[in-house]
Amino acid sequence: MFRKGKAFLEVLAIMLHEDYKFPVLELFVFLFVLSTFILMSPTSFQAITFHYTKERMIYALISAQMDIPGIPFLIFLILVLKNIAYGFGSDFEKGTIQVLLSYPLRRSALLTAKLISGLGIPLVMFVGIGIFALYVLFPKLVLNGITYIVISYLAFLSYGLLITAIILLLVIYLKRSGAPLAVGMAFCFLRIIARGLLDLYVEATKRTTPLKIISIFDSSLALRYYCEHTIWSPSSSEVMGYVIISYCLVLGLFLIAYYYFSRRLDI
Amino acid sequence: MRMLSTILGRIGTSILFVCLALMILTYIPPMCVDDSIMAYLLCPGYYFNVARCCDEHGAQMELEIRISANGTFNVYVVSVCSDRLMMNGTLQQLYEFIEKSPDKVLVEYVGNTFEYSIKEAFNTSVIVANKGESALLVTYRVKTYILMVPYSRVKTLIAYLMPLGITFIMQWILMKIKEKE
Repeated sequence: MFRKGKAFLEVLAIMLHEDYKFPVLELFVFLFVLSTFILMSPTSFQAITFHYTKERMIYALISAQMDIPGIPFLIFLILVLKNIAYGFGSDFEKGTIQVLLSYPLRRSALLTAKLISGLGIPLVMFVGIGIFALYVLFPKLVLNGITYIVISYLAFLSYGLLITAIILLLVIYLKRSGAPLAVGMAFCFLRIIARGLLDLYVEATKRTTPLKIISIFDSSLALRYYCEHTIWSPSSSEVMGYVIISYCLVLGLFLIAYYYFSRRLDI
Repeated sequence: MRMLSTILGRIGTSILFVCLALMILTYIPPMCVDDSIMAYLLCPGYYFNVARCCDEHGAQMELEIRISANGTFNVYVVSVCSDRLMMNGTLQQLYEFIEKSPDKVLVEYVGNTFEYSIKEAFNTSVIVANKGESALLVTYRVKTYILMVPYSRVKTLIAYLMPLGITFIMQWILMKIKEKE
């Protein structure tokens, strides 16, 4: 048990070292902080001027960080793509994965180490900096509305995690870095294009079905309409339902990735 | 031990980069989001609220006020939002408010012109009162600025984070030196 734990830590240390060579981590932290404050500050003024409710204010501030164009969110996705698509894909291409597989570890533990390094660290960093920025701007809001902040982050991160799961599956299946990286980038821009087209379509036809379908993959859409009450106004339980469904989808994809990596991968 | 030291060192460098980003943000000058020039005919025995800043959450707003009139007026800068003090009213109401909460009055001034700037305004109102016997034509200009970050709060944070980051980095550097030796 102790030997396995030590091996896991060693593998994790190797992956952390590979993913965050000095000063990659620091540069991303710097960019996260700068872009988060630059985007949140004008929104906070708007929220104060128009006397937003607590929920609306939290949504507006987090969406400034996460929603389209969402520079911090894009930086987060780039970091995750770099680690998962490029980093993990390169391990397959260069054969480093065989060295890692020689450690006395289960394959699932190896993948867990990769996910902690490639996804866990950026996630903690990103959400941590977001909440830190919110606390600097509105301390009372964070202390009184932490539950709503957590739900908002969960809703906004669902699409990013879905992309990550798809990319991970592609990396494991193709054993390459180039194609998954390109697909990941395409998914990032697809969201922007799809949202624009969806807004136009819904505005013209007043149909809410496409919104409900897209919300399954990107639950932040349901949260947006919950806060804005325009064409579609889902209830809070409906929003929670969409968040749960989207995370079930993400979890399902990650489980497939684990299964494929542990049982079906021929290395 | 070596791994823990490296992790702490990297956390330290990240903290320093956070401080650097915050320092850059504090050097971004405030952005003017509103500049309004208005006039108001203030009857004797009445007051008027010329500028209100209702920001109970943060400290991101800055106000620059310039008031002038064709006679002498009294100005009170009070630290309340409009819900506790109406937009306009009689002097009696104003005196009652001042008597009840004298600690809320930040500035009191008498004159023909008044210039004032409020840094990091929370809940602030600027009241012009006419204690004279003739009506006053009060013209006022209010400029509202928004700060990228609340300066005082961020400076406090930097003051705490910077030594913490440096401490983490120092132990990392010392460990590296020991390793080389």
